Amino acid sequence: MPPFIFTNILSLIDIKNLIVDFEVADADGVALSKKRVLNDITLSIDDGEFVSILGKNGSGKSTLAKCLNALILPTSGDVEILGLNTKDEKNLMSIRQNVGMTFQNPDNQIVSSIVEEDIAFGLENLGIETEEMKARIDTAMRSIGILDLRNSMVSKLSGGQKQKVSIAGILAMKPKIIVLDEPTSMIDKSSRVDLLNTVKYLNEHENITVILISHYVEEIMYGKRTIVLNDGRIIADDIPSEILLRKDILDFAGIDMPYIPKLATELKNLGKKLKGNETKVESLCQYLK
Amino acid sequence: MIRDITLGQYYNRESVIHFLDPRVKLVATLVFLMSLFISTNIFAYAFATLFLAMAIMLCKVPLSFILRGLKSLILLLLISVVFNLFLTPGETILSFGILHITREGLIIAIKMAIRLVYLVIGSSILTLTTTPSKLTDGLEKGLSFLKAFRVPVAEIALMMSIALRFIPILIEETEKIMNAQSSRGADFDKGSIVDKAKSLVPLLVPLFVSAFRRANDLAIAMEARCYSDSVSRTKLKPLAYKGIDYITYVILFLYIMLIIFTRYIKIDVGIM
Repeated sequence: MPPFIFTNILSLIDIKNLIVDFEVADADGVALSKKRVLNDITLSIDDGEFVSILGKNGSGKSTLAKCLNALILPTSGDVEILGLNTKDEKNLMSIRQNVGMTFQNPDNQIVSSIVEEDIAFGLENLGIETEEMKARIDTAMRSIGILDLRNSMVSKLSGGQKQKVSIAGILAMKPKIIVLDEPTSMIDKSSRVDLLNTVKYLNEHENITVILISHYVEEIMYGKRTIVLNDGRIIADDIPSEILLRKDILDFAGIDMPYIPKLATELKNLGKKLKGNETKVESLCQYLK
Repeated sequence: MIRDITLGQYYNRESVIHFLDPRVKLVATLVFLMSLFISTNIFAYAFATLFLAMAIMLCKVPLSFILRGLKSLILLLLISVVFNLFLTPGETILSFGILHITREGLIIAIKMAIRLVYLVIGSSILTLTTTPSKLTDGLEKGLSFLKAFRVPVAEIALMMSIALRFIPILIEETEKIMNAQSSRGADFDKGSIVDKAKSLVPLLVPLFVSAFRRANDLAIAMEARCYSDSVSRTKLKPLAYKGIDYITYVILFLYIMLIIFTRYIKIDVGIM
């Protein structure tokens, strides 16, 4: 399947008035009622962007991610990827090939016991020939930096390594967009930084559009744009350093402001001559000098 | 602890037998098992012994490792030998009170013992020299003719390999749940069999719940990676016969012919 090339479309992802309702059972598990999970989302994402989607549990961020590759279809409204509507069954394979997605639990998304064989899974589904498959696996493993794990048993890997294997697995399918649904929530801190740097590298050097779903506010600094969701609505869409300083938005989304901007704001409130937009240790030190 | 249990007891060595195509090894095991049950006289058993000895030598797995599989068989072996020895009617050669050992009983008991032991050794050589994933591949390709009868061979093979993938995860999970229950006073070892069985309920229920949740997650992840049962999938490591595989098929054919041939040798050697 050749990669899709469209020159006449402006954005890679185009979401218009997206509404998603889930049917939920009550406490007895009998009566069904409708719950609106995504409420009138309109959004467009361009080629090469690195967008973080921030929100607390139940804000609809995972549902939004699943709408991007047709795992969940809109109740009303449209989701178009590269101009292909997710509602059209014919587009399903090309949408899923172009929108690679990884999930929260690294164990529950790896199919084979051997690293190399798992990376091959998506390619086997696409019907790629063996030689081409080997070359693509090589390239994908090199970009992620896990070439040495090729023949390892998946059960012997750490959580961070498993997440890298799943990213390599979708990267081998040559997607335009990768959607990472809370990739760091089940791995330790040092692997977290390592993983996000790898993702940033892919975005900058391989021109892959990245959508990072997260509930850690620290992680949005890796991206260039942040969207904050609350109760199924977009409540902010801005560059990360602006979002970090908007205490009202962070409070609304139930997220703690990170330490440095918090300190800067508090100092400013005390009457110190701060700009109030210091988000990094260095800029704050500059002031304290 | 229980994590040390390995399914399929693969023993990594560089040997001709490790190198063979899994389909050849499956057929070889099948042929060997068949040969054991059509063996009637001492010549057939001698050939079978020779064949097995060659396989053991070629696979470079230590003999003690191969024989380990027999441990679990001892009880079954003992029961079948004792029953055959004393309960087969015929010409009595030894008597202990009311128990009589008959000539026919002795022959059947010896044959049965050899068959069982060879059977276990033969199939352990297969699992010792073939990784579970290769075995699955071999079964998938070897049974692919069943697709004509609408048997979903590829899907079954994928299910088997996913099951293998999740065994270590579920074992780890069982340990976690056991520890959680033990820390709250559960005891899995005390009491009668009924008590023990009852104590497994609080272990199995959360294990099943979690297994279903994992299955659901995995299904979504597979779908996201373009899995669909309606398209034909390609393979990263397609199985292809090499020279040595054809040679092995020829050897197998000659062997089974030889065993069949021995049935027509009419001689009265010893008790066989």
